[in-house]
Amino acid sequence: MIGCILVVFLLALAVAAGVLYARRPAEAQPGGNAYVDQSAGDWEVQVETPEETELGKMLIPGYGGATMREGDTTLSLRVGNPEGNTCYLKATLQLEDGTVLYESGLLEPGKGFEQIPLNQTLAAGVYQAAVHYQGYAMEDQPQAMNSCDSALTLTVLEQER
Amino acid sequence: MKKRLISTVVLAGMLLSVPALAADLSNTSVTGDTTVTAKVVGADTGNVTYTVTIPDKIDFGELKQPANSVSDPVNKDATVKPEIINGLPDGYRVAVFVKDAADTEEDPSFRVIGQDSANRGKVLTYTIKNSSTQANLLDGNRYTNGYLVGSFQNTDESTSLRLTLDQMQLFGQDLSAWAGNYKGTLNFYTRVMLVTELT
Repeated sequence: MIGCILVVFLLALAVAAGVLYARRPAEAQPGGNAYVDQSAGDWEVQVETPEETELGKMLIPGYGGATMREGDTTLSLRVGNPEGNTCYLKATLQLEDGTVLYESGLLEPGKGFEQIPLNQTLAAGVYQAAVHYQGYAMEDQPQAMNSCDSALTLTVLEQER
Repeated sequence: MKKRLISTVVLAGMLLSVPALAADLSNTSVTGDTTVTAKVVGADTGNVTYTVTIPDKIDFGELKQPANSVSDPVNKDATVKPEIINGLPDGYRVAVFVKDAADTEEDPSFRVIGQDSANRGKVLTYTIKNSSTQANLLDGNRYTNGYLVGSFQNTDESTSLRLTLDQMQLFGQDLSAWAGNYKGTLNFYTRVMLVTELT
């Protein structure tokens, strides 16, 4: 008797798990079930830009460098999608060896960040890094477009003692 | 009728898009000891110091098999241009490079690759030339991150590119194995560099 109850319980549990799995939110997969990064704030390049980028083109931000201290978990780096673009941009900050330090969701034109959280801290030193800007068409199922890597020198200073 | 249809089958949706860069970069170079005194070029750290426009995609459209073994090019034009350049130190330029994502030292050609079950793995190549100089990018220096498109000091500078796919590559081919969608991937790369690094 107890065995039957246990079997029924386990079956009910399996069905419930299946229903929950089927109703789970779509994972963020830009290019597939792409999502828009709702945490991005209003953002502008802070210098004069074209009101609207011509169709067939995308405007990509570029940098000289960025600086932080060892142990910092955020980096002051203006990452965003310039207003006037007609596509989404997805930004990924990574080191030359491919280590990903930060990855945004899809950024709408005119949206971005002044500071970004980092996946890991870095030891003091000078690193070559790049923000990989991947374009996506502004469609229900955004398709990957061209991309551009904006290289920068990331300087990590020693902690003040 | 079927044969006629096949003969006019087109190779559609040839979008050149550019994905990921992870493989584009070499090993991390951490220089010096832990006392960092390096000068950061364009000291406006963390800010956007320049912007460039690049083509968002390049669509060769529908290709057709030529009737004769003669050159039958399809041309598409693109422009790379800086829109903003702020605080660029003397002797530096905003450099823009490009390479095919499938680039190897043995085969650096620009290419589109069949995406459908019928044409999977089929490759069509195309050239990218500087419209002003007519120089084929592949004939220029090969840098770590691709071939130099242009190096810019001012926003009134730009580089016009002409991309050419010669449909003669399809001459004599069995279209049942070649028709379908093709897609290629280009990687652009931009960096503030010393002029002397670009020679």
